[in-house]
Amino acid sequence: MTELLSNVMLGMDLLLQWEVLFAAAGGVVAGLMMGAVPGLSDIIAICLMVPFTFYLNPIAGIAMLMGLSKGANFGGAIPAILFNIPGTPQAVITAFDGYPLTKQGKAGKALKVALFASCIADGISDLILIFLAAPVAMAAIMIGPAEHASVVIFALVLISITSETGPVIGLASMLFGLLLSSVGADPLSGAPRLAFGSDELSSGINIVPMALGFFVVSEIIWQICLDKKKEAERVKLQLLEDQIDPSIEQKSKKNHSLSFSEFKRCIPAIGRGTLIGSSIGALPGIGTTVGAYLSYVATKKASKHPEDFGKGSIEGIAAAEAGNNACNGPNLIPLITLGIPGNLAAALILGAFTMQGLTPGPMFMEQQAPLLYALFIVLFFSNFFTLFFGILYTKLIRKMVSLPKNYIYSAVLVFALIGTYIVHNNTFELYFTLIFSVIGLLCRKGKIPMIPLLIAYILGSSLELKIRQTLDLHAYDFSVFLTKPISCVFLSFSVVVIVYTIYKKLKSKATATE
Amino acid sequence: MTRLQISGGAIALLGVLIFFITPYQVNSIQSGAFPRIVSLCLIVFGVLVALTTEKSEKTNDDIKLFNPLLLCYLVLVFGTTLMIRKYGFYPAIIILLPSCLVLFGERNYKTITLFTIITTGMIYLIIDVLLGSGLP
Repeated sequence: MTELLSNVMLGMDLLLQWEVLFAAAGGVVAGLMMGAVPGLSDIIAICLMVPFTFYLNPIAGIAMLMGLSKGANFGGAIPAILFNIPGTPQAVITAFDGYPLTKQGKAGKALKVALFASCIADGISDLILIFLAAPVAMAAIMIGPAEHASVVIFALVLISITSETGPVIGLASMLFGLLLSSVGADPLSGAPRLAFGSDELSSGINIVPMALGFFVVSEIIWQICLDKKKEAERVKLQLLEDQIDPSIEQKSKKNHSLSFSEFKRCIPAIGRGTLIGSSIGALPGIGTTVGAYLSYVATKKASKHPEDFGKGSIEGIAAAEAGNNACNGPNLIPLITLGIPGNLAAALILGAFTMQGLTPGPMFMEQQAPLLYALFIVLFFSNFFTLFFGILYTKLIRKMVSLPKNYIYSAVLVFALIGTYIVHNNTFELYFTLIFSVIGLLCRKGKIPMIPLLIAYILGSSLELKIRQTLDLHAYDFSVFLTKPISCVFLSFSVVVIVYTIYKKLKSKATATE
Repeated sequence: MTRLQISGGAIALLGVLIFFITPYQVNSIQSGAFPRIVSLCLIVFGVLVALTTEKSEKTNDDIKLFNPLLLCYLVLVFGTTLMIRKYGFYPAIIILLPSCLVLFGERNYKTITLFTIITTGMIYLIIDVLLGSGLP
């Protein structure tokens, strides 16, 4: 406990600099703005910002990304509540009750519930992270390369099988990511491999052009083409929006304010959402959308008025937002203690850590304890900033979400190209962005999930390194992975999870055909 | 053929390609073992994906791959990449921004010009002045 306190104090010393606080606040504001624009997700926001963090000191850079992630997470709920257009995938659940409340002229109330539930659940989940990170890291120090490799395999399997398009294609996508990770230098000898004689390829593919190509350029082009197709539907949406009688909204200030008794009514939903979201968040790959959905369902089941859900229940909004945001803290536990990102946002943050010369993993907590605790405290500051700027922002938001998309998309494309360049000041990497944009478009068209691909790409070198270290130590005897208990348990889990998921999928298909 | 069958076939083909190319692109057997094992697994999973039966469903979140707009945007990004390498960022941005907007259907040339000037100015301010990283 004393060690924890002294680390917290040392972390505070590092944190209390204008640059860090300004970066965290700037990240939150940028996240709120980008999350609130439908079509620009938290992932696009992080991808665009990662290259710029290279110019900040490590704490400020990571603080900016953490703030961005938090801001965008809440920002996604704003268009979901106001226009029934979720800004981020996880905000879909918030729209169930948020939009009906807007139609009743209570948009302000819905936004406040979402904001408070987000910040409270996020704050508690950060506390969970702080208290669990040290014990998990202590346990992680004791594991060897065989166990580490097995844990990475288990995490990759979990991330892959939870893909929307199915477990088999998720696993195939993960393998494609592993294959891409083997391009460049051999992780053990450093010799060039699969570089096809190219100097640029011999050091491997940089994560920034890859992420920008996959998740920004291809996404923007896809959205532009989709928007053209959906123009007719947009007109329909606009009509629906017009059905909200502005006079209802202006009628009473009471409709927009949140009373203490209403807030008290939301507390059980927030508590339940925090518990469910935190448990889900600690497992790699499950994701915030599942956290939000399970929390919503559990709150509906426990409610005395389940019939109100879907018609504008404030408990519904609180549950969805709490479930979604509570995933954030525990999601960083595997990243910080084992170097395994739990989701795509964490994977991109890992990329930023690496760019700053920091390697999260079992030894990170021991070697960089003050820095790590500074980052933990940044999470609380970011929560406070989200609350502060969230209150201000919700008042201006209607104008922001109605900004013309074509201008936003064009500017994002330009920033993606600049972001690719400024990491290494190398214009050749623009070709990588272009190639990965094409691959991204093909993946979208071919229903190939890209999240397992990118996470496998990030973890591929360390997985190979650990496997080869283990085999070197044990005279190339593969049975060592099964004779070590921890390794055997994780590999068995991986096999069981794959077999069970495929069996369940086949069974549900068989019942559907009957 | 369904989309998943095409994807599976492409994945398996990629696996086959890498499997046979790897020995010529590595210095030692150990170095090539990981990509070869992964490519073998990729072949297996590619075939499994191709064998997956999929209901032919028309979703609203899909576009044609040979969509003229999509191809125009790709050509535009490629052209910008070439321009950046040859003439630098600012001339390329000045062409990319209005072209994007025109392709998107924007026809108000005053707004387009104003937007291009403001965005380029902002980029100069952020990248060159604030971050001190001169764009070529």
